[in-house]
Amino acid sequence: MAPDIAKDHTRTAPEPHLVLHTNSDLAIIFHDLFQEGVLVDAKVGTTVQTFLCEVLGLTPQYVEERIQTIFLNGKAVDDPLSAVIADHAAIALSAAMPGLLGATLRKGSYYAAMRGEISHEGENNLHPHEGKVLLKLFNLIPGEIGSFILGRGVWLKGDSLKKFLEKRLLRLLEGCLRADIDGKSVDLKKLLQQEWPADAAVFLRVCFL
Amino acid sequence: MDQLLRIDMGAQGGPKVTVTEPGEYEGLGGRALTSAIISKEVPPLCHPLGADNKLVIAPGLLSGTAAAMSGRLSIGCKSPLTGGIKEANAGGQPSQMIARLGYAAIVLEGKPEDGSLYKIFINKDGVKIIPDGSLKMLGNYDLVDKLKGEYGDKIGVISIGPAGEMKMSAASIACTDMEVRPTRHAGRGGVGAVMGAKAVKAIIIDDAGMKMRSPKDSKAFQEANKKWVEGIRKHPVTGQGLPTYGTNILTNVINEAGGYPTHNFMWGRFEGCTKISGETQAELENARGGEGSATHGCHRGCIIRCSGTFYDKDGQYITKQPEYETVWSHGGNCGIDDLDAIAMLDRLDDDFGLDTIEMGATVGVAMEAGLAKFGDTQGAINLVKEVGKGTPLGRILGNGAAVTGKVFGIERVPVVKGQAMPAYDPRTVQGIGVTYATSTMGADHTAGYAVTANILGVGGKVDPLKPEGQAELSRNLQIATAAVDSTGMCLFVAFAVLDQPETFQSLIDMINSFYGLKLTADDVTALGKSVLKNEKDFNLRAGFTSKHDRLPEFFKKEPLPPHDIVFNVSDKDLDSVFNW
Ligand code: SF4
Repeated sequence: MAPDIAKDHTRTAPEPHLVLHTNSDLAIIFHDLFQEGVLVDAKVGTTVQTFLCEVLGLTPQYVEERIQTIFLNGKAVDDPLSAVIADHAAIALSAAMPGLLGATLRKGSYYAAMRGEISHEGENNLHPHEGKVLLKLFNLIPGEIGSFILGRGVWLKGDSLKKFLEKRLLRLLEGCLRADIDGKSVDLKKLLQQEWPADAAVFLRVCFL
Repeated sequence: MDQLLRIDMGAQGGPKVTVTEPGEYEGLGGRALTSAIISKEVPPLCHPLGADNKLVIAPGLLSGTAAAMSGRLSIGCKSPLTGGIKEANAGGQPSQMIARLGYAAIVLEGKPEDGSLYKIFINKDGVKIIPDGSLKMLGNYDLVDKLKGEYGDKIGVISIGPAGEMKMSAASIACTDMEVRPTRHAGRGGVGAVMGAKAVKAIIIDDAGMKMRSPKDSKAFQEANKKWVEGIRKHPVTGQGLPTYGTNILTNVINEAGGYPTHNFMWGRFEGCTKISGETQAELENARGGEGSATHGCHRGCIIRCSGTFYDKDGQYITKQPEYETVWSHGGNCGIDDLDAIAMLDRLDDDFGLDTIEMGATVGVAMEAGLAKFGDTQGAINLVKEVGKGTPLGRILGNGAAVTGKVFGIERVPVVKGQAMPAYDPRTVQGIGVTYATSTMGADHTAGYAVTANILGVGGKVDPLKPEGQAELSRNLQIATAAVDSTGMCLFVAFAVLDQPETFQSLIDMINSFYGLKLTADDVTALGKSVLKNEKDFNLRAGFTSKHDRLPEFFKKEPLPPHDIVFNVSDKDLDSVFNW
């Protein structure tokens, strides 16, 4: 399940910012975060295509060819140009998938009728404004665009970050060169003792070297 | 490869071997052949475990050749689980080996009355049928080890575990893989019980001294195979996604769609999904290492290699990489989010000789009945062990989800024609529900060739955006599936075929150049239709009516979270699937 960090805006204290400087071969350990979902700052009230190309910076060709399956709030999107994203919407991106289900869930699938009940109907009510989007990346996609997105920075719940650090500390100790919290350098080993606001958002940025 | 090896296990004076020309079955392979023989030779009203039923084991049309991906084996009979016709298929080495020995099919007939248990040894010199009481109630792993000791490690083995000997309706037939481990199963429909009823514990195949089957037109065949391999390698699903993550690549996506049946089909999303996803599984296997860990083929000649090998944290071999269906059935469906526990359940199923989909669904129903709690890994393992031991409870569970639901008074039992549903909730993807309901096989997921229907244009073009197109789409899918199931190709070639028409053409070119034929896509369609016609006709004569082409009532009544939808395809639409 995705972390419920939708209500993080209600905090008044500034959210902690963690910046990690790591070797690029460590990128794979961050893929877990994308399976669960991370929040990204985005212009919402725009189309999925605008989000992918203008917010995430993907090329239309990449969206067309590599991202074969898109879910918006759990519904399969056929036309990224007509599906509009609301604030705190969940978007999941996947490469091409095997089997009948894989074929059926693809965008613009010949078999779209078979999953009509969960097809996103699309709308044209555009009203762009600043917000956040819960982004999930599956299978081949995090390996292709995950580092870029982490380089821009993502939001995640404090206890999700804590769990991630617990699980990945050993690898981080091997390949992470520096960690800063709110602009101050911290000892990597001490990251585990750090108090993160459990239910509220923490900003994480990873600079791959 | 054109002879039929018939073994009458019930012949007077002991089992009798006859080798015949294929006659009217000439040119058929895989599912086309198993279904043709069953439909023609088995009395539809016979008892599935009786002497009149037959077990047909048939390599695909291109098995035993140099064609990549051609090692699937079809096993057909009248099913003890559904009461209808059955084709279950498996990977592993035996398909290639049987084909190289020159057999289009092995047909087990009759039933011995003397209480002996037999092994059958087949090599280039002929067939030996030997009673061997020492094999009784051995698990598939011990059995194969024993046979390797006797026949060497270059053999292929087709075998049953204790579940097949106990004639349980969830019993599978195991085929050994490249490492001669019994990991590839013709799982569905209780085919293992039919082999058990014939008192055959194992068929040992040794193809030493036999060559690869040679095509009529070698040059054209080689060219077509080259294009075929290129097409499979360059496609992102077959060239990247499947080798990297295996079939379990589907878990996160189906879960996101809200169609991942959880806690016995109660919900469409599983909280622990990311702990058992293909991404997590591949990372775990890669971290643990070991030979063939995250990317491995189930038979020689597979170039996709969607499988792998699961080692425990100490590096001990446990089982092959559990597939998506298994990870779902024993995992999310039972509230279990522990990959090690799921691998152990997969190992137990393979050893006892059980269909992992049926067993996972059965454990889910048993959990709903209170025999264990959802999420209780040890409870699930204990239930499967009951089956292996053949305790009274185990005998109930080993006969599948439908029997278990009946015995414990559970209403939510996800079966069609007595067979448990695979890992997609039909309320979310309703077109799949149409196939589950109307398939000649009972709820079945092997419509993987589905995608070829579009290219074949089977049944004319359908407007996919019209809801009423679902019945037509399902019909086309079933026809295309039946056709390609007959080639012996692994179902995962489907995507390369969908996106790259030239890859589909290279498949037809391989068949043509191998057999000296001039088939077109229309002929392939006609073959698919004739397979389905045989199967439908058998089921009709076995007493099936349109009333059996229905999903269980709860799918129409219980909205599935998170999308809160019920199955709403009308009975009239379901009944139109087989009108062509
Ligand atoms: S792709 Fe997978 S199932 Fe198909 S033949 Fe290869 S390993 Fe076996």
